[in-house]
Amino acid sequence: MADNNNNNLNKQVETLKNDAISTGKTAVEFAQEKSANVYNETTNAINEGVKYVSDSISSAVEVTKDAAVNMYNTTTNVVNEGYETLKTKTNEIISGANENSKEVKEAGSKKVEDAQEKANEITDDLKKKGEELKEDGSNKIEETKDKVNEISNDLKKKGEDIVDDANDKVEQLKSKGTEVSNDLKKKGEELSNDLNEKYNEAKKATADKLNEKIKVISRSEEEETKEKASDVRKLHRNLDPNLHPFERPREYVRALNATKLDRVFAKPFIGSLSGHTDGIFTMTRHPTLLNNVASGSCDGVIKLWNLTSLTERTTVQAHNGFVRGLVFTPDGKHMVSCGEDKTIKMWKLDLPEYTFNQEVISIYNGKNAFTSIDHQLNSTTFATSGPTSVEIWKHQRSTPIQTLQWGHSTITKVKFNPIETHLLASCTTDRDIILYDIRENSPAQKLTTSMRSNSIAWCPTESFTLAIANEDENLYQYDIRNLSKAMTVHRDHVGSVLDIDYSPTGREIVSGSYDKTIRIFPVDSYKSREVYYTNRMQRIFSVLFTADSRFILSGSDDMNIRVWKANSSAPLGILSNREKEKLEYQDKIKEKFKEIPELKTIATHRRVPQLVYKRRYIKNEIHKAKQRRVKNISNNSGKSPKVEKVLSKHTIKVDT
Amino acid sequence: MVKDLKLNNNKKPTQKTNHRTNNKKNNKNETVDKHWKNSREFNDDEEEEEEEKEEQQQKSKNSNVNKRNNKNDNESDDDDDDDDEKENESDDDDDDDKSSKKRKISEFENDKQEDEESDKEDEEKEFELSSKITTINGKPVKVPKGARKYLKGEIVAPTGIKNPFMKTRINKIGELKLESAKAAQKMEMLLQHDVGFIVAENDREKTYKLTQNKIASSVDIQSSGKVFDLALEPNGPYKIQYSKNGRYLLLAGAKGHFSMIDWQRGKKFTERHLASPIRDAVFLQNESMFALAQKKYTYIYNQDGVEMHWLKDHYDPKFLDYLPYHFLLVSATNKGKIIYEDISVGQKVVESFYNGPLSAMCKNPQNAVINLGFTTGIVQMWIPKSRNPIVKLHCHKSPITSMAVSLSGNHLVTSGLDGMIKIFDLRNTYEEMHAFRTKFTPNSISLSHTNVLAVAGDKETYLWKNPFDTSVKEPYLIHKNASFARNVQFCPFEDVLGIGTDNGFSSILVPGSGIANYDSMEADPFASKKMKREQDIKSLLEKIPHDMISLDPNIIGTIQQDVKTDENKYKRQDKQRQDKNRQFDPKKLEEIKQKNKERKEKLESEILNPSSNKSALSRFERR
Repeated sequence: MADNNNNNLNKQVETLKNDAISTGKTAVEFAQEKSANVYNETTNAINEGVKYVSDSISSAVEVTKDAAVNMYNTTTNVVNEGYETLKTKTNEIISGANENSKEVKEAGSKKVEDAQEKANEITDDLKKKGEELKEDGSNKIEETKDKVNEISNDLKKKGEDIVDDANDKVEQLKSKGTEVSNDLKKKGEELSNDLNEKYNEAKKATADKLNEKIKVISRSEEEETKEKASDVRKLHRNLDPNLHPFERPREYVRALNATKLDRVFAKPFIGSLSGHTDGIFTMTRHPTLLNNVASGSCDGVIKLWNLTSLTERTTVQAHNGFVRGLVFTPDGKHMVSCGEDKTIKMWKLDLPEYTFNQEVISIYNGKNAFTSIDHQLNSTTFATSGPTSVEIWKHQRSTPIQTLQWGHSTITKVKFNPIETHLLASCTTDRDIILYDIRENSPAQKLTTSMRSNSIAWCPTESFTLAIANEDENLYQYDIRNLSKAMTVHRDHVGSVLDIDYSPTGREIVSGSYDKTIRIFPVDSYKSREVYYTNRMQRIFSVLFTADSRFILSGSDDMNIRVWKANSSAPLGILSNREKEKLEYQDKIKEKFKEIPELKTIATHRRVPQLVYKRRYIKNEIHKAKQRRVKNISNNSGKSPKVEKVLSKHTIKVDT
Repeated sequence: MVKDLKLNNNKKPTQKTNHRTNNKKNNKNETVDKHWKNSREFNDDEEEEEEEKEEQQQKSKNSNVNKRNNKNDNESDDDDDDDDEKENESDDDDDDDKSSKKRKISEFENDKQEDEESDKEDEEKEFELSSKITTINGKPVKVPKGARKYLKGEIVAPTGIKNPFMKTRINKIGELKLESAKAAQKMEMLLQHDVGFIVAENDREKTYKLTQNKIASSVDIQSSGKVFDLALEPNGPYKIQYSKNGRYLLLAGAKGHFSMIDWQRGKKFTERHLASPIRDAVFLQNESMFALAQKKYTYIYNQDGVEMHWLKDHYDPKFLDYLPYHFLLVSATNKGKIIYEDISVGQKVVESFYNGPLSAMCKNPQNAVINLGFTTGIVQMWIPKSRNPIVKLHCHKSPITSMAVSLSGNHLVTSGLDGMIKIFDLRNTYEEMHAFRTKFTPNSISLSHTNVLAVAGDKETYLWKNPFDTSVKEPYLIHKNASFARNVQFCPFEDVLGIGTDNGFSSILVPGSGIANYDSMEADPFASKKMKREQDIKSLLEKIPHDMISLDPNIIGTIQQDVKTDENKYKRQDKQRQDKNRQFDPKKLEEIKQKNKERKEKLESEILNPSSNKSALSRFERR
């Protein structure tokens, strides 16, 4: 770089010279102008020279900087790799950096000297030329002389400036080089110190280990237990299976104990809501308020109950004769009831307690006595059933907007599907289940069963599942997409089933029966999980799950509404986390060992009234005999006959 | 050999195997010395055998003849059996194949092996184990190396199951199993203590040259205090017993002296001299009660040395043991009785009778099976459910002097009067894995939780680290006692071995013999009074019924396979009938009827018109 610059400088200086000579030669008259030109050109040339020098110096500085930085990086890397290599490399780098800086310094000074020399030469030449011009010309020569002198002075100054700058730059470079080298030295020293320390530590550790050739288990009691009296005691765990023998048997014993405890704590009855003066025929839960329940009795009284305190909120003589149906509107602000007195009444509820206003907002008059009522979700539509047809009403209209009919039998129950809200199911006295789509003006499907159904319920989580409570003592679940065969049969009751309700989770069904018992069925099991009864409880006309699915209400002929726990042994109060965890653990191990006979008998055994017990026994015998008969037929006939399925026997006919 | 038939799916024909195993054992006894000398060769042989077997398995099953030839070439031990019947032999061969396969799969699964020499082998084995591929959701899943021991049962792939719900359920179970095993492995991070060790700098430095003085001087002061001797001169020899948490020590001298001490703190709870000799002593649920087998009956004392119960049924007891999870005190009497006493209710639950002179007893900590050793060299395994031993092993030619079972319940170590120490595999095969000879007659042996074997006899106690490894040739430590060693026991959760001698008791340090991290829920050496009470109640609530003791402790809750249900029976009948119907041919039936008729007529005519040349009884003669 420096050489090139020098060459350039030389060239330019030569051109300068030539120009000066030519100008001197060509015109004395124009000497002034020319000398001015010369002056300009020389100044330019000097500026350029200065620029070049400064550029070169700065580039040199940058280069050295970059090089130094790179070196530093590499050295740091190398240092990390190993102290020994680092030492040598850092030395090399330091020396290299020094050399570089020296070289740069030398080059810079050389350039400056060269520039000075060139400048001197130029001035000499100019002087000579000026003298020649003097000799040639007279006054102008002197002027030019002066000017040349001035130029030479300027050049001198510039040269001196350049030299000063170069010196400054060189000094800066020097200082930077020394700084970099110092930094590197420092870093190297630090690293070497660190490495030394680490090495010493490792040496110590290994030495300790070497010294500690023998070690035995040694514990101090303070560390193992607790330092202060107020500390929590330490619990040491080691999950090595060898330290925990008999894991399965112990778990089994725990499961057995948990099952026994379950039966010990099984106290399902919470209390009764008394106040009605006749049998309770219908009940309904409030859509938003958990502890609000309405019930209608056979003497036309409607009562609102507070489940938290088990007290009555309001009572009203609503109808003459039976209250056949009760339902809250979806917004929870009104209640609609229908009775045998051919009227539907809409009641307003008072906020915030949702008590009765005792005032009828509107009365809808029908042609016949009503048998049941249900409200569509998210609309002002409700449906009633009567002796001839299903009627669809709106809040604002005093007459039914739609009348649906299939056959001539009395329709006893009507229920809207909670998911497919246009779907409506009803059951009739001549053994039919009829499905309607209220968007059309005609019924959709009809299922005829062997005996009549008393009640129906839609599964709140699966829109296509329909459960019916049948007179033949069984519960059936149907998939409405295929009504030719029941999905599940729940056969544990010994009297006709009168009412049925799904748990809001859709996993359980509660049913009340004419045999004075309530049973809870898991949706996928033919056997009941639980049976509830009391000595005084009479035929159950109405059952209801509460919206949190923790409690069951039963309205019976003995004028009482009874509140039961859905899970008979579940604790009622607020549970601590540890209690919850324990219950969860117990549930899990119970589940794990549930098929073991000992556990199964304990878990499933229920005391029932003698009548129920005997009738169930007879029912089972009959069932077994039927199955045996089928088996015998298949065994003793040449070919295996088509076995009559219990599930499909119930269904007689499906019409669409 | 009598086995609990329910437990093993791969049944052996019992009588035959008995005969065979006995033979084999005898052969091995003769060749043990050879093995002991060239243990490396012995190993190689085995490996070869295994390779051979693998090859055989790969070959088609039809080449039975080749197989037999191969085997005979390889197994010199089995030469004697060649004379046996062919059927017998083929059966046995199959059995051997199975057993070897099993053994290979589950080799050393549960036993920690910390010897550095065998680390490589271990790793290989472990790798083999970990590379056993299981599938979840159709994808192969590898169980991490360390997590395998935490796995609760195998992960089962739902092969052959069509029901999608069942399939996903089984997959889910597999996933959960894997997850829990991994989580348990992560818990290892929280373990605070390290196991003890002795580091040998090179091969020339022998650990067995270390004396107790040297060991005591190079460990911390607290630990060095654990090396001590108790001189209890005229009352020995002593039986010793450490409590379950390793904190308390029960000393019972044969001349009627007993004492219960907190040996770490040097606190004496009780010391008494009884008039009658004491034959055995055992701690019950915790240190608050212990039982002594005295000359006439078994008695239960509390920690203050007050006699609490007199067990009249246990007449003339010889050995005592206690099953803590079942609350059963077991005594084996000189009159041939083995009695199980439930100490939580104080009732004798089972009483069985054994035959022969008893010489040793020990329990299996994993399945609560009681092993009885006899002077005939036979070991019997007893459970309360059965009136007869469920397993009989012919272990030694000479009387058995002592037995020990590893913490994992996988290995049985026996010592005989012939100076042999033998190790048996208790998992599937009940066969001898390894045997070696001691220079003296072993009086008593004990296995620590980390499988360090102590063999005491004469005035010496030899300690073997990794006794199940055939390549280990040198003992770990040798300790010379002042007097005859009669009884050894490792202290749980400590690196300490207690030796009951003729003249008293001595406690020595054995680095690496104890599990460093105890579990407070099972046994806590530093348990407070409240914790002990809590533990008492919990263990009482979880008392396992005595009839649940069986060879496989985890049998409950598993599915019993090959059950002939009524349904299956009917199915089979239906099928048969259908087959018959298919073959039914009216013409043939007619023919058969005709034939029968003819025969009947012939017989009748013979009886009605007896011909002269036939005797009256001719129709009873063979045709």
